[in-house]
Formats: sequence, structure tokens, C-alpha cells
Amino acid sequence: MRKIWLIARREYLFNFRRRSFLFTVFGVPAFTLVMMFVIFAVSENTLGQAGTLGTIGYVDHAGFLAEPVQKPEEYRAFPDEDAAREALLAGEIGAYFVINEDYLTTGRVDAYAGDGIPEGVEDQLQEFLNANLVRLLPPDVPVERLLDPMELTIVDMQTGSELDNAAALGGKIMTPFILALVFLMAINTTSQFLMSSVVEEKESRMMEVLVTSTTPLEILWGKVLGMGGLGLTQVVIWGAAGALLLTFGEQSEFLSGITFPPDLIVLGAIYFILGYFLFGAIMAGIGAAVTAEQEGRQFAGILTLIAVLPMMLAFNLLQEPNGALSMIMSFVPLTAPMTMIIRLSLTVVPAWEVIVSIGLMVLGVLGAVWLSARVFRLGMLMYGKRLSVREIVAALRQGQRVMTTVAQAKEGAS
Amino acid sequence: MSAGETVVQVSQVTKAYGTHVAVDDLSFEVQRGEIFAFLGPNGAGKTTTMRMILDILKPDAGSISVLGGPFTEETKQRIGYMPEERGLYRNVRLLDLLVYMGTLKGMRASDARQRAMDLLNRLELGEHAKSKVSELSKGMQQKVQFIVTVLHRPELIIVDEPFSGLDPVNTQLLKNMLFDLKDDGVTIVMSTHMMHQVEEMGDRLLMIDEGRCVLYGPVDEVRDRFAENAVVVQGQGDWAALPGVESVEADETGREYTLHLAEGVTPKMVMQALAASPEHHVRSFALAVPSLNEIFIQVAGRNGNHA
Repeated sequence: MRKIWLIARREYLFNFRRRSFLFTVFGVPAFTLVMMFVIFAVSENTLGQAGTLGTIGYVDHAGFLAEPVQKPEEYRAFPDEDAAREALLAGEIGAYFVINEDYLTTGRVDAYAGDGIPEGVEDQLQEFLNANLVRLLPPDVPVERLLDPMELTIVDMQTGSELDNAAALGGKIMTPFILALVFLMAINTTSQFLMSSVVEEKESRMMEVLVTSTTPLEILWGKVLGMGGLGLTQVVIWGAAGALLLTFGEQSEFLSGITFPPDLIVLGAIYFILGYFLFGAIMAGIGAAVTAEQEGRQFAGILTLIAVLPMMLAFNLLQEPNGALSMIMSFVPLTAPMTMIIRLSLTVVPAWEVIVSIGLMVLGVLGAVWLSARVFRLGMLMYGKRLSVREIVAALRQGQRVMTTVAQAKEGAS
Repeated sequence: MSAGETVVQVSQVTKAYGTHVAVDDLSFEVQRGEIFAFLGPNGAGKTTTMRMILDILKPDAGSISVLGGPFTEETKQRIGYMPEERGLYRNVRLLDLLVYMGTLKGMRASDARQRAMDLLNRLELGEHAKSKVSELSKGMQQKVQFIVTVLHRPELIIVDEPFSGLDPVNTQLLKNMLFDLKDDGVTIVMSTHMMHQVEEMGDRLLMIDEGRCVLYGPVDEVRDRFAENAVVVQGQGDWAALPGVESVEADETGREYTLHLAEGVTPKMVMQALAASPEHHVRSFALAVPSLNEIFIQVAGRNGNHA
């Protein structure tokens, strides 16, 4: 146990100081935050551009704006198009709208401007027209009803909970995808490190020295635990950055719907850790079986594809969170973490399914670590040669022989 | 040397990679406190044998006992291994690396640090303790690898080609350390190509070729066994005319002659004949003892097509 701890600590500290790790861990959230700021700034700017055109003129041929209500300050009425055009050419106004005679039946409005009409200005005009149209309706219809015709409440049939508005639904879908994405990125970074650390030790023959100091199983557990700690660090830092992002994002309707209920966080963490161990152990095994890192990356790519399968089949998961496909993918250890994270945030998953899924993952992890340790023991000595399937099978068989040796050793000692 | 306790016992061990038999029915033993030289041409199976002793590889047949029993985890703490191709973490500070390796072998961190510093100083690396491994020269890295091997005060060290790539000064430094370890009772198994080092350092030797034992025993005994019935002389005279001399062989310089003697003729008889002969002037007279190098070439050549 002490040696596992020693190896885990070394792997953690060494890889933490890696430039690529520091970049992923701090660079990605920093980049995201900067991007969010830029997006907010730009969108604020587009919406706020109503004022940048200066005064805006309008010519009312339809004749319902004689005594306008809710007229924006910068709006100025012109008696005819010639006067408006002159004002535009003289630079007195930034644009003008012509409301055609047949407006009430066709809705035709012509706009004249030097450099186009920003969206904000269009929205503003629309509100102005709406407000004045209401006056033509029966007097008991309030202006607000036309401007905001519905207050939508969505009732979730699966959970029975009510979602106040459309943004909440968007958030509900966003939550699992953000979690799944963070999970995928964290697992990818650290398990790549794990693989390259194994390949490096193999190439530098460090492995021979290590294996005459401790056992392959201890080396593997040490590495997986150390890198798991690194992955957790990464997620915690990203989580902090995400919390920061959400605080800023409260102004944005879209992001405000994102919530992380505590039970999702706890189960998510369990799935993250188990998923990490599973992928880590497999990646280490791949690292032991290949000769060069480049080659290992190809195998790792296939593994990543399997892991993102739930994301690719997300549509099916969204439609039927408790369907057969969802259930199968929850029980297969490789796809379980992602599937479960998506399902848990969409619906109520039966408790037995969660228990079976976690149980199968634990078995999967133990199996993967054991298997990788075997491949490891064989692979570390096969320099310049890729392991064939036959040799891997032979390595697995050899496990029994190793166990008998240990048993004999114990007999000899007693 | 006390010919007592057996530290490593290899019995009828065979190891094959696919159809290629790397080690073939090999048996030998290493005794406590000796420097055991392990010789053989490239690809003879030296490294495979060492790896089997270290339990990195399992033999296909035969048995190996190390430090009085089968190999266990506890055995690992009593053994030091220096692989042929050196392996060190590159982007780690020297002292940190050594402490890590020491603790993995079961040392306390403080003890490992102190002993690492002591060994670094002895191998003239003290000032580099805070440097990264990648900043060191090849020779320095080799010395670091040696420190990793002996850091945890093992009873048995197995070093694969310890001197390859070292300059004469560092070779001497390492040699002295090996002798010191021997004085402390450490058993050393050393594989090498360099015959003069075996002659200088080895107590006993094992030479293998194509996985089979071709020479095994105390170094002096092996040399005597290969000594021909011949003498090497310098001087003037008709050497072939001496009684009992079958043939005469001049060396490249033409100054030294090897006189091969007929059966039953001893070097002493030749010496007496020379002393009695007025036609011969002798500057030097020596028994023809072959160097291990010659034996190596002779044995390896007989077994295969090695140069």
C-alpha cells in the first residue's frame, strides 16, 4: 500500500507540473471566460445600437400614428418622404421608416438608412408599432398582452416538476451535456498522460528498475490513483470556473436555466471516479502493449469514440431516457458514466439500475486493472514489438502461474 | 574467499522466445561475497538470464532460487539491478529521483536522502544534486543509475555492462566502488564484454554462448585450463632446433616467439636446454597463459561463427 501511495504521489506531482496539464486546467476555463465576456460584450453592443443611429425618422401613411403612444425619444415624425430623405442626406437622422398606406392589411414598412438597420432598431420599431396597434383593439386588451402574448409553464411528465419558462428546458438539456463534456475532457487529458507515462517508462527502461522494486499491480494502481487525483483536481478547478461563469451568466436567460442538483453531483462524482479508473487502467494497458506513443493514440482514439457514443446517441437518450438503449448503455461500463450522467439529469432513473450500473462498473474497473497489470508485465519487456492478441492471452494465462509461485513462496516461508 | 553460502542458484533453466531458444538448460550458482563475471557475445542470453534471476521473466523450465529461496516481494528490497539500457526519469531533479527510488525499495525518505547525498559525493556528482537528469552527461547518468542500484544497501547487485560508455576516470571510480561493496560483503553479478575487467575484478566467471554454458569456474582456473603446453620467449637463436619444440610461432612484431611443446615436455626442460645452449640468447621467458580475450574468441568461435 505504501508503494502505491508513493507512486501515486509522484505521478500526481510530476504531471501537475507539466505544461500541457497547466494549460488544459487553467487555459481552457480562462479561454472560455474570455470568450463569454466577448460574446456578452458583442451582444450587448448589437442590442444597444438603437441609439447609435441617432435620431430616427418615420413617415406615417397609414394614419394610425397621429397621436402615438410609447414613442421612443429619438423618433421623429416627418410629414412626407421628401422631408425625411432630405433630413437623412443632411445627416440630421440616421434612418427613416415609411409605414405604407396598406400597412394594416399587409404590414409593409420600408426602411431607408445609410448603413443598414441594426436588429435592435428593428425590435424597437416593432414594439412601437405594436403599442400603437393595440389602441385599435377593444379597450380591455392590455398593451402587455400583445407584447408578451404567453407566459409558458412546462410540466415535466417524468418528474412531475414544473419548469417556469422555456429557458429552464434549455438548461435541463444543457446540464448533462456540460457534465458529460467536462467528464470526457478530464478523462481524456489524464488518461493520455497515463498512457504516455507508461510508454515513456517502457522506452527509457525505467520499467525494469521499477518492477524490481515493486509489483506491476502496485505500479498500475499507483499510476491510476495518482492520475485520478490529477483528473479530480482538474474537474474541481473547472467546476470553480464554471461556478464563476454561471454567476456572470445569470444575466443571460439561456444560462440561468442550468442547475446542478446535489444528488446529481454526488452520483456524477461516483461515475466520474469509476469511469476515470476504468479508462485510466485501459489506457495504461494500451501503453504497455504498444511500442510508441503515436501508436497508442490510435487505440486511445477508438476508446474515446466508445466513450462518446452516448453523446452521439443523445437524441435517443433525450427522447427515451428510460428506454432499452439507455438501459443497455448504462450497464456497459465503458458507456455507463456518460449515459448515466445524461439520464440522471433528464429523468428519475430506477434505483436498482443505478446500483447495478455502479456494481458492474466496479467489477469492470477491477477487471481492467488486473488485466492491464498482466499485459503490463508482459508488454514492458517486449521492446520494439507490439503485443499480439495471442501473447496477451498467454499473459493472462500466466497470471495463474504467477499466483502459484506466490503460493509456493508462502509455503516456503512458513 | 569463503566458498560457502549460495546466493543465486540457477538449475537447468530454459527460456525460449517463440522458436528461438535464448537460454538452454543453464545451471550455475553465485556465492556470497564474490564478484561473479557473466560473459558472452551479444545475444548469448546474458540479459535474459539476469531478468529471470530478477523474476522479470519466468523460465520455461528449471528453477531459480535467490537469496535462499524463491523470489518474493521481500527479495526485491535486498537486490539492486542496473539494466543494460539505462532508465531514468528525465525531467526530475537528481536528488528527488534518488529519494523516490530509495523509498520504493522500502527506505525511509530521510535515510534515502542522506545516503543518496553521500553516494553522489562519492561519485563526484554532489554539486548536481539539484540538477535535472536531462541536464547530465551520459556518463553522469550512468553513475546515477549505479547509485539507484546500490542506494538501498542491497546484499546482491546485478549490473549489466556497468562500464559501457564510461571514460577511464569514471570507470576507475566505479571499479573502486564495486571493490568497496565487495569488501562490505555485497555479492556482485556483473555482465561484461571487457575481458581485462574480468581478469582484474572477477573471482569466478560464467561464459555462455547461444544460451549454453561454455565456461564456468574460478577465473584463474579457467585460464590455466586453457593454457597450452607452450612458452613465450624473446631473444635470438634457432628456436625450432631446441629439443621438444614442435613448432614455432612468431608474433606480429617478430620479437616474441611462442614455442609449442611436444607432449610430455615441460617448460622447465626447455629452460634447461636453453641455459645449456650457447647459440641461444634469452631476454625473457614466460609460460604461455592465454588472456581471457583469446579464450573468449576461441570458445565463441568454436561454437559458432562469432568473430
